[in-house]
Amino acid sequence: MKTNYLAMAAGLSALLIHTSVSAHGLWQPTPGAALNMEVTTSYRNQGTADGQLWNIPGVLMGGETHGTEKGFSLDSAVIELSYFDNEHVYGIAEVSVHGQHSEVDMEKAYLGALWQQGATQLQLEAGKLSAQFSPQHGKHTNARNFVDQPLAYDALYGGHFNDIGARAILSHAEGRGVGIEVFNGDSYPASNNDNPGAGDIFAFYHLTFDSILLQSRVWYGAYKANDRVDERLTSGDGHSHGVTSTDPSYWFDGDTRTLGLRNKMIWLGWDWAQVNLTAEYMQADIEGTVRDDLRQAKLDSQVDAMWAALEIKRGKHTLALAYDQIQTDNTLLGDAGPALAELSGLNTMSDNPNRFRIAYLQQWQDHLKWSVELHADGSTEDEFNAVLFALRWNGSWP
Amino acid sequence: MKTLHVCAQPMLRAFFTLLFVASLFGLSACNGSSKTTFVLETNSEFSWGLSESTALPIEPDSNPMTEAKFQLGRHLFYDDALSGNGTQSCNSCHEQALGFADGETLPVGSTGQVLARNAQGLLNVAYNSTLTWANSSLLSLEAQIAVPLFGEDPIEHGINDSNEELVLDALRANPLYPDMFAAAFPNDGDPVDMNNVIRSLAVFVRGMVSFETDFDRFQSGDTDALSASAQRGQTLFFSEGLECFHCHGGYNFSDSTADRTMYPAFIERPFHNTGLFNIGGTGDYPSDNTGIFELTGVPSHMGKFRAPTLRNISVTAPYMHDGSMADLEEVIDFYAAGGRNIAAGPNAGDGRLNPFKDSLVNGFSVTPSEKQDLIAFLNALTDESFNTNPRFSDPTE
Ligand code: HEC
Ligand code: HEC
Repeated sequence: MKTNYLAMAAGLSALLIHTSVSAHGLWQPTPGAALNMEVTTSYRNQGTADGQLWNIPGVLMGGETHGTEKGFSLDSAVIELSYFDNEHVYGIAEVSVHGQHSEVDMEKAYLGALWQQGATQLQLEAGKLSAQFSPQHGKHTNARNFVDQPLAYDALYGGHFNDIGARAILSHAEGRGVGIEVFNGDSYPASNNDNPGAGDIFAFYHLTFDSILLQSRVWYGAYKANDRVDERLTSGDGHSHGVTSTDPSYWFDGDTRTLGLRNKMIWLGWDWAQVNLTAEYMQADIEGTVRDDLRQAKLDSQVDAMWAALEIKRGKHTLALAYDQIQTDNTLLGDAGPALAELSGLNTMSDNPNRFRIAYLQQWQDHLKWSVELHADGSTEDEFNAVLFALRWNGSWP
Repeated sequence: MKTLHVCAQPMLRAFFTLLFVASLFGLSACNGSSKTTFVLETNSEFSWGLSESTALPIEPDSNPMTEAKFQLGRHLFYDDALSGNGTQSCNSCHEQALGFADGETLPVGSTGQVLARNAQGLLNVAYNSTLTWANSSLLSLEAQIAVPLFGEDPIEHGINDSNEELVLDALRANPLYPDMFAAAFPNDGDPVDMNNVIRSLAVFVRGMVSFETDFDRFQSGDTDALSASAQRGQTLFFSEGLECFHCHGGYNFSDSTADRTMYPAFIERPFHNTGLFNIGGTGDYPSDNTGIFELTGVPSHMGKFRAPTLRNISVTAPYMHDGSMADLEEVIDFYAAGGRNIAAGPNAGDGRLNPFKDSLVNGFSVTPSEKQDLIAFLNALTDESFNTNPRFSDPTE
C-alpha cells in the first residue's frame, strides 16, 4: 500500500519538475496609513455550545474555542490600523470582538521591517502576533467562506494562536520561502512559560503548470504548557454556560508538537468558473500529565485533524463545500486515567468527530456579502443539522 | 552557486509534491477510529468484586492481593487459635452481621482488659487514608493488624515473645493451614510465621470492600431505591446547614479516603474535634482518649478523631470513639446542639464550647420529621449484601 503511494509520488514529482515556475511577486505595501474594518454577523438555528461547554470528545480543549450558540451572533468585528513608511518600517494594530465575546481584544499589535534584495525579501516582525504558519490560521471571518473556522484549529490551537513574540520570513518572488516564529508561550496550547515557550517554523512553495496553481506549505510547531487550565472554565467571560468556576477542574503540564501540511490547488482551466481545492492535515503529539486536586495520570495523545474544502467561484457567486474530521488516539498511564479522562473530556466517541458544510455566498454590494450555510455537525456525540445566515461587511480607508 | 540553484529547484519541487501526496495520505489516515486507552499501574489478578467504575483501593507492592492469601486470612480472622490463650479471634470484636463491629460500647481483650475505644466496623477499610479512630501514623493494614495481635496496652489477642511459637505451633497443628500457607506464600521455606499471618489478614481485610447499598443503587439510576423520606434526608445530609458531607463526604462517606487513582502527595488525612468533651473548660478529652494529641502532643490536636465512614452505620451502634452514643437519633441531637454538654461527673464540661472544636460543628435546628428523614438516609447506607456475603463469613460454619 505504502509503496504504491511512493511510486505515485515519484511519478508525480517527475511530472512536476518538467513544468515551469512562474513569478508570484512579493508583498509590496503602499506607504501611508490605512484603516480596515470588517463586521460579520450571523443567525443560526442550532450551535455546538447550546447550553453546554463544547468539547470535541477526546481532545483537551482550551484557549478561546467556545463553540457556537443558537441565535444571532456577532461573529467578528475587526478594526485594523496599519502604517507603512516609505522605507521599510511598518506598524499594524488590530482590535476585534469575536463570537459572543463582549470584550474587545487586542488581537495584533506589532512592528515590522521589510528588506528587498533582488527577488528576495526579508520580513521581520515583533510584538503581539497572530501565528502565520498557515494562511488559514487567524484568517478573518470576512475572508472565509464559512463563518466557523475548521475544527482542526479549535482542537489544536484553542481557536487561534496569538501571543507576544517575533518572526522572520524569508521569501522569494517565485513564491517560495521559509519562516520562523518564537513566542512567549502564554496562549493555548502553551501556557505560563518563563522563557519562550512556543514557536514554529514553516516553508512554502508555489508552482504552476498549465492552468493549475499549486500552493504547498509545511509547518512544525512546539508548545510548552505549565499548569495549563481550560480557560473556558475559569475565565468567566460569559462563555462557559454556567459551568464557570474559579476552581479549574484539571491542569495539564507537557508538550504539544504539531506538524502541518497544506495544499491549495487553484484550477483556472475552466472559463465558466474558478475552482479551488484546499486541504490541510495536521498532527499533534501531546505528551504530559493531566491532574486534578487529587490525582494525576500521564497522557500520550496523537490528534490527527484534517479538513478539505472545495470552492467554486463565478463572478459574485461562490459555492463552497467543506469536510472536517478529527481522529484521536489517547493513552493514559496511571490508575487515575479513567477518572481524569472523564473530567477533562479525553474520552473519545465511537465515530470520529466530523463536520460537513455547504455554503453559498453572494457579493451583494461592493462592501456587503451575504451567505447561507448548511451544517451536518458531528463534532460531538449530539449530532445535528443546522442552517446559518450571515452578513459580512468590510470597509477601508483611504 | 548557479548549478546549486538549478538543482535545488527541482529538489524543492519534488519535496513539495511529495508533501502534497503525503497530505492526501494524511487524509486517508483519518479513516481509523478514535480511541482512548488506559494503562493501569497496579493490576493484580485479584478479583475485588467491584463495578468497573469504582476506583480500586491502594495495594502495597510488598503485599500484593491474591486469592490464596485472602482465603488464608479469612480462616485466620475467625480462628481463636490466633491468641495468647486461645480465646480470641478478630471475629470476637468484629462480627459480620454487625458490619464487623461488635455492638458493645467498649470491647474486652482476651485477658479481660476493657479497651478505651469502640470496635470499628470493617467495611471498605482499604479506602481509609489512616487507620483506627485517631492515628495519623498508622497508614497500612499490615502495621495496624500487628496492634490487636501483639499490643500490650490494651491486650487484645495477647500474643507475645513467650507464647508466639506456641501460637504458631497451634496453627501448624491445624490440618488446613500448612497447605494454605504454602499456597499463599509459595516462595517461603517455612511459611507459617507471624509476618505471613499479618500479610494474609491484611489481604483479607483489604478485600472487604463493597458498594451495594440503597444509596448506591439510587446513584446508579434506580430511582425507587431511596424512599421519599430517605431522599429528603439525603438533601439534608448534603446541605450547608447540616454540614455532614464536609467530613463524611465522597463515595466512602469519609474525608479520610484514599484510592489508587489519587496522587499520593494529594491524599488527605484530616482529624476533627466534634465537641464531645470539654473537661474543666480547657478543651480536654478523657486522658485515655485524647485523639491524635495522644501521639503528637500538640495542644490543638486535643480530641481530634478521624471522621469514620457512615456506610453500614445503622448496624454499627453504639457510636463514637468511646461508644458513648446509643443510636443515630442521639448522634443527630448531638450535632444539632453543636456539641455535647456533660453536666456532672468526672468528664463534666460543655463540649459545645471546646476551643478545639471544628467550626463545621456549630449546631442547627431540625424538626422531628427532618430527623427521621436523615435517619432514613443513614439507614440507606447499610450494605446488607456485604453483611451477609459468604465470601467474608466464617469458613468453618
Ligand atoms: C478486643 C477487640 C478487638 C479485637 C480482638 C480485634 N479488634 Fe480490630 N479494632 C478494635 C478496636 C477497639 C478498634 C479501634 C482501635 C483504635 O481506634 O485504637 C479496632 C480497629 C480495627 C481496624 C481499623 C479500622 C479502621 O477503620 O481504621 C482494623 C482494620 C481492625 N481492627 C482489624 C482487626 C483484625 C484483623 C483483628 C484480628 C487480628 C482485630 N481487629 C482484632 C477491636 C478489636
Ligand atoms: C467537622 C467534621 C464533621 C462533621 C461536620 C460531621 N461529622 Fe460526624 N463525625 C466526625 C468525627 C471526627 C467523628 C468521630 C468523632 C469521635 O468519635 O470523636 C464523627 C462521628 C459520626 C458518627 C458516628 C460514627 C461511628 O462509627 O461511630 C455519625 C453517625 C456521624 N458522625 C454522623 C454525622 C452527621 C449525620 C453529620 C451531620 C449532621 C455529621 N456527622 C457531621 C466528623 C464530623
